[in-house]
Order: sequence, then structure tokens, then C-alpha cells
Amino acid sequence: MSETVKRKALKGFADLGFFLISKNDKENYAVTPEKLALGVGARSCTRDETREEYQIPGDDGIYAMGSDYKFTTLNVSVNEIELETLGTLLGADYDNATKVLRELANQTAPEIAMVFSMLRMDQSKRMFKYFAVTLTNYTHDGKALLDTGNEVNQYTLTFQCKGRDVDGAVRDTKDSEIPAPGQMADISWLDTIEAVAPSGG
Amino acid sequence: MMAALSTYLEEELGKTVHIDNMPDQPVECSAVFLWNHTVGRMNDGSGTRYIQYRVRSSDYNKAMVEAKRVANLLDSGLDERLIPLPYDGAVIGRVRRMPIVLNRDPKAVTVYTEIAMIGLN
Repeated sequence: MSETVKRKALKGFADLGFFLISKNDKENYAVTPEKLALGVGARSCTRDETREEYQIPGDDGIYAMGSDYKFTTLNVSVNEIELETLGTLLGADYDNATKVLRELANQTAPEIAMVFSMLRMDQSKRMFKYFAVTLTNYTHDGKALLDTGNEVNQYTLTFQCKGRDVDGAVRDTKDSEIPAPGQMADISWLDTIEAVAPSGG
Repeated sequence: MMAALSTYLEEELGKTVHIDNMPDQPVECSAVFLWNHTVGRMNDGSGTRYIQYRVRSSDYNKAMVEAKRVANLLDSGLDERLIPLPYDGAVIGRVRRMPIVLNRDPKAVTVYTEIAMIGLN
């Protein structure tokens, strides 16, 4: 090992997980302590931010301009997802006894908090926490096995993210430290999401 | 990276791993070969090296087992595990070809596996 690596471009996508939200109102925000795996083999994640631009005219031009945040859309593809996990994300019924996932027309998907990371070439990781996320749609491929059979039928999950009610926070992003030679980046920051409670509460 | 790769595999396998060269002797022999090195359309300082790990042995099974072990050692898997090479920066390995026979003669068989190694140039 010689000089310090300065390359900071993000590559890859991994460490995908989620927490169930136990409280999300004007005064409290909390998640259940256990981080759950969101599928196996995270393949891709694309992000779209929806904002509404505004301009306030003044006497001699534009008095103020900017944009209001509306929501973020994350499209996440995974190689595998357990039916129980899919049921949890959809708010659908999964029967542990019969192992059947039943999706209803009027089911309501719960809010979750979602975390993941991306690699930088200096071996550190950029870590993301989204605080209020809802699965709004999902699709999966269905391809007949042809000559190679090397491709999998991916699940693509569409999530809508918004600001949490207590403070409007949409996401936190943090870079891990560069690990020591032979070590992996410390991504334990993704293992917890701090609760927010009324001051003095 | 080739030197780092050779060093890492020598430590893991407990044997000499040559670089871009397979000596005629001894028969029992291993080497890593770099056969391509690509970068993105806008070079960000990182690139992908396409390497072959070749192992020659008088025993087909022995060669296959060693090549499979190397394929597993250099596979970052589903969670993008960093390959712990003694080399600057992050290194990710993706197996492109599992072990198959490259060459066979009366005294030995040569098996190879191909891996794409993503890292700094």
C-alpha cells in the first residue's frame, strides 16, 4: 500500500435493509430495533426526486424562486426476495403455516425506513438512510430458460419516500471512514435509526 | 494489481503463483494472466482487469479443486465483499467463467477460470 487513494466516484450498491416504523407522527418517530434484509443480491437502485418549482414575481423581476420538495422515488432491483418480506412490505397477508402470500385489492403498505450503501474506490462506503418509505409497486420478470440460463428473474420494487412527520427529514447520508488495510468499511451506522421524541420527553 | 493478486493467492494457496508466465517445469504449476484491461468511457482512475487463473497438474481433480477455490476467493458475491488484496483502494471480483479445461496432454491437464477484477488502474 502506498499513496492515499483519492478516487471518490460511487460504484456498486449493497447492504440493503429496512426497519419497520413503530411511530411516525408530529411528535414522535421510532423504528423497531431489528434491521431486516430486503431481498438478496441487490442489483440496482435509481432515484428520482420530484420537486415543484416556484417563482414569486416582484416589481422589477423575480422576487424569489426555488422549489418545494414533494417526494423521492427509488426503484430497487433485487435477485431474490422472500415472500414473507414481500408481504411485510406490501401490507399483505402471509400465512406462516401454509406459506401462502395473499395480496388484496385494498391492502395498505406500511411505512418503513430503508438503508443501503455504495462503494467508493478508497474502500470507504457512502451510506444512505431513508426515514419514511412506502412500497407503491413491484414487478418481476418472467423469462423462459434459454441457452445459458444465467439471468435471474429480478424483482423491481418501487418505493416512494417522503419527509417524516416529526421534522420533515427525508434521508441522512454519511461516508464511512477509510478502513485499515485488510479490513472492511465500518457500516454499523446503518444498523440503527435514532428515535425522535419531544424535547424533554 | 497482478503482483498483489499473485501475493494474495500465494498466501491463500501456499504455493508459487506466476504472473503472465507458465514455466514448462515443474508440471504442478499455477499462474495468473492479464488478458484485457478496460476503463470507462471517461476514465475515473479505476478499471476492470480481466484475468485468467491457470493451474496445471497431473491430476484433473486437483487442478479443478484449486481453480474452483480461486474462483471463490476472488468472487465478491452478492454483497460486494472487497477482495483483500495488498493493493491501494477497493477491489471487487466478478467470476466470468468457472473452471474448464484449457489444455490436456499425456502428462498433465491445464484448467483455467476467468475473473474480472474491478479496481484502481
